[in-house]
Amino acid sequence: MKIALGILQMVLLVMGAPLLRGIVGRLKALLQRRQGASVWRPYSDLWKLLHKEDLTPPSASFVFGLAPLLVFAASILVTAFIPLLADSALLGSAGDFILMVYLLAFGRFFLALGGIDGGSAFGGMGASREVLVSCLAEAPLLLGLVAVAIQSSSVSIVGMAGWALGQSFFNISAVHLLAFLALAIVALAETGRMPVDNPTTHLELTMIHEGMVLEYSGPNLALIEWASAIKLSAIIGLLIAIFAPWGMAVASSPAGIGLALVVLLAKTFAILVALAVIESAIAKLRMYAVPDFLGVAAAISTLAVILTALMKR
Amino acid sequence: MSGVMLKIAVYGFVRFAFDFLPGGPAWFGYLVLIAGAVSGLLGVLYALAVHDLKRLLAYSSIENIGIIYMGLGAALIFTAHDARTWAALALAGALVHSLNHALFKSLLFLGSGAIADSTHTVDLEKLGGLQRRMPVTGSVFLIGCCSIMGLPLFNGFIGEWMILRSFIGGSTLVNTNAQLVLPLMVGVLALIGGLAAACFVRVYGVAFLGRPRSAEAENAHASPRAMRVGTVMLASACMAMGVWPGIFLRPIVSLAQSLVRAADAPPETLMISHVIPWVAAAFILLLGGTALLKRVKRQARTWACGLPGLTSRMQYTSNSITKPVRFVFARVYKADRTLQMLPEDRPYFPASISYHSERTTSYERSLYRPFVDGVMAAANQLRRLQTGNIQVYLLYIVLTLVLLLLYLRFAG
Repeated sequence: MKIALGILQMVLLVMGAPLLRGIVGRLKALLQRRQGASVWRPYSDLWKLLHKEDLTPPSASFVFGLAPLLVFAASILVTAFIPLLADSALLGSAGDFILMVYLLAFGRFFLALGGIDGGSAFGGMGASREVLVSCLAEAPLLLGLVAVAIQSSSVSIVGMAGWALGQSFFNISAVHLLAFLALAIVALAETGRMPVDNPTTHLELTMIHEGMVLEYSGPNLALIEWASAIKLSAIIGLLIAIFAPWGMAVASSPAGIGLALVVLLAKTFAILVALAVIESAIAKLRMYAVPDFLGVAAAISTLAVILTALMKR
Repeated sequence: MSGVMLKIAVYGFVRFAFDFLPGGPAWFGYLVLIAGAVSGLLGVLYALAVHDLKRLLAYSSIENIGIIYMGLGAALIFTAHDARTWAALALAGALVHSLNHALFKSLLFLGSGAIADSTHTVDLEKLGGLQRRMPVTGSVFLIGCCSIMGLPLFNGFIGEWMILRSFIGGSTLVNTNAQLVLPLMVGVLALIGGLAAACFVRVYGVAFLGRPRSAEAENAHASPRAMRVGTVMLASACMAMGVWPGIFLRPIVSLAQSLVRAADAPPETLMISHVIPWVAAAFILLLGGTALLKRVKRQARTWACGLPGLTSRMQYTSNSITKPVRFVFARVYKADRTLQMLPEDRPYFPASISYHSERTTSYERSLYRPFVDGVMAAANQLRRLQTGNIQVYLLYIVLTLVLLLLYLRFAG
């Protein structure tokens, strides 16, 4: 039962990921008084890309073709850590958050290498900016999770969710608030959303993620796009699991899980609305303002960790 | 050299701090921890700034030794607070990382030796596209880079993971200082790890991927078999230890247990050696599954914005890839830059521009240099005593004797 539930959660995160992108795109369009594409559009995009041919630059080595596979596999593995419907996940009790964060880094490393392998200026530019953003986002991400881990005395995401389930919503601690703020900022950076990166741009001066994947086409591009959609859904799932897990099924009966699914969808939709509003309201930051933005996250998460020590006295 | 020689200091330190001393006071551990963190950060920042491959690897050794000492410092703090299981975890993490560093750093140095042998240069700005020309060296170098960055399924991850976990364990101590400092060190280690990732994306990406940046790199040839065999052995050790950590964790953990005395085996090590093989298996399954996708492949020219073609000079260079990171941490480097335009009266239409930028390491400038200068100055002052005149020397002896007698008379 538990394994079936774990697999169901992974399937939800992996197969539902393009839908989240579609919904954000549609919401942004509505906010900007446009018609917007259908929410199912990302699926047909993926389908189309999967049936096109793979173009490889003449200078590319095997890394170019391997990178999309590794990125995709790593991002699917990340979903195995995240509890959605009940406080369990396939790698829930055994895997800790450090392993999860490092698996995310695994994908990023190979994506950056694939970008450089194209041999154009844009790939190197994207890779260079991506490593800057990710090396500065790593510390606040881990520190925010450490604060929650200390608070809940558990190092697995499932344990954190289970602990928060036992708490009252109105009894939330300052540590959680600070950690949530820090992780929300990091989540914007990690998933390449505004104000750190503009996912819809193809302008040389501003692109980060798009710069790295410029040379990819066909199935390779489909895998990369899907992987970054999965990353978005996984990080939204992570935020929900550790900061607002209320509504998860306690007993694993079909009815309970169905109810949990409805609650989860409502929470996800709320986050997507927030994301669409942020992306429509805020302009992209200048490249060298991003470190300051992430520095704020680092400071907040440091404060959260300090508070955990002070609250124990 | 970097594999074994650097570890002699670690060995001596471990023998001294854990074997001879019964674990010192806690401030001793904090000192080691902070020194490790500082050298880790500075090491990786300087590694980012050089483009001589061997110098870069040497700076990265400073970083890794810093990480090892962070683990040792944490172990000392835990011992001082009598949390022996956590101490064993931190110490084992430091030992594991020493072993790992010996493996992957030797691998990377041998790889750069192969590059030097084939292209006669280790300047990153002159390399590029070597993966297609030296496939074996390139692949093992990639494995070495993954290990040194601490990516999961490679051996570097295991040691860093154990040290990170022991830092988090610091929150269980009853001492407020330790509760504050140890978990915050997770952030420092994460920053070091992120910067190391930036550094090695650039090393592998610039040296092995893309287009060759010089004729030497263009005409590089695969290295002789003897050179390949050694690196392949080291690379397979890195992978085996990363995928199946149980085989080497057990002896190292029991060694750490015997060093901290009367420690239980930390349960975390058992956990990681159970999880990692499963993760690896799932990863390989997923990879195999996606590799089965049906595809049609075709070669096409890299997009050049409509221009007829790209030259290798249009690629990002090794300096430009790390420029954003160096810009953010510019205060650490404090490069001396001079820009000269000739003739000076026509700044907008110069006939020639010369630009010179020099970086000395800031710890060398602000820590070692004043110390060495001070010692040298004191020595220069002392030279005045040496007149070469035998009467003066006899006077010194008499004065010393008188002073000693006076000392004995009044102090005794």
